Amino acid sequence: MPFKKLCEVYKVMSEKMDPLIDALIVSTVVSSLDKMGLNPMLVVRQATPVVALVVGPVIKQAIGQNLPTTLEELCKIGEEMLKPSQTADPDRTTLSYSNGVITMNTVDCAYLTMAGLGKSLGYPACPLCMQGVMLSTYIKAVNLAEVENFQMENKGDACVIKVKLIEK
Amino acid sequence: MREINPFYGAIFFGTILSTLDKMGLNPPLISRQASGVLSQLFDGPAKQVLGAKRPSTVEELMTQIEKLKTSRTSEKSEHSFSNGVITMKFVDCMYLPLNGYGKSIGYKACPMCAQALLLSASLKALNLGGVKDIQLENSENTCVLKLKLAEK
Repeated sequence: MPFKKLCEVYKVMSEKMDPLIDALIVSTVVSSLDKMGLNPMLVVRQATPVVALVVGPVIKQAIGQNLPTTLEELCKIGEEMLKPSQTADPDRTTLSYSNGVITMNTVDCAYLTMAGLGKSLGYPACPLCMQGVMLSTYIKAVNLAEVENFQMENKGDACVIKVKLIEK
Repeated sequence: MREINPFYGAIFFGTILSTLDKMGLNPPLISRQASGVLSQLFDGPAKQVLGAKRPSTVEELMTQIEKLKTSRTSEKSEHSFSNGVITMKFVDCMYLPLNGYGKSIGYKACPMCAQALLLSASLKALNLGGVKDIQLENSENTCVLKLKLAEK
């Protein structure tokens, strides 16, 4: 499908997505799994390599020849790469790396409704952070580190996601 | 608020469900667990929205659901109920990208049908019956959903 056509399809589909219904479905599925003994991080660890298989080639194609060689570079490229996705305010999405932890700051994330619902179910933010999954997939795709876990905090329309890495 | 990218949602949700399926937790099993949690969340709002007129039969529930949510999750929907089977037809469901992704990884449609989950949760919240089996078929932008109810 040509890119322009894909954008048109995406626009039409986005207008149809009801964030509350989406949040209800994803949150209750993740929360049920949690009650069955599969906590969200375990689910993420299992799902990330599969998502990386699907999305990895697209990410590598988008980055081109200049694949990051350090985690600082990974953050710099990641910041630029996340901007067009528009899942949060592109000008206020930042990534930084220090002491084995990548910190991602987002404002006005598209999944804020899920964060609200997650809090009502006893989580500190979304039961499963989509931005965290996206970031983990990116880290897996460029093969610079393994994600040990990630923690999310939400305050109003701002979220802080801390991804703890096992460096290679 | 920013719009959700339906393709991201489809890839992540679809992959998570498919991964769990490979680990032995198939989508109907997850759906049965999740509809219980969802029905608890529905209980309060359902009382508020429906007031004293809570549906007491499946037919009444289907009429209420069509009135309440058609415009929110799909363009058109039709329903019928006979011999313990609810049949629903949806056109242009908001989860069509998930359906496309589901097909690409070996499912007949969405790995887990969100419409079926919502309906199961509503049935449970109103104590109208449990869902025994779910069948889903998709053809382009149209889905046909059959929910077989367990006798009470």
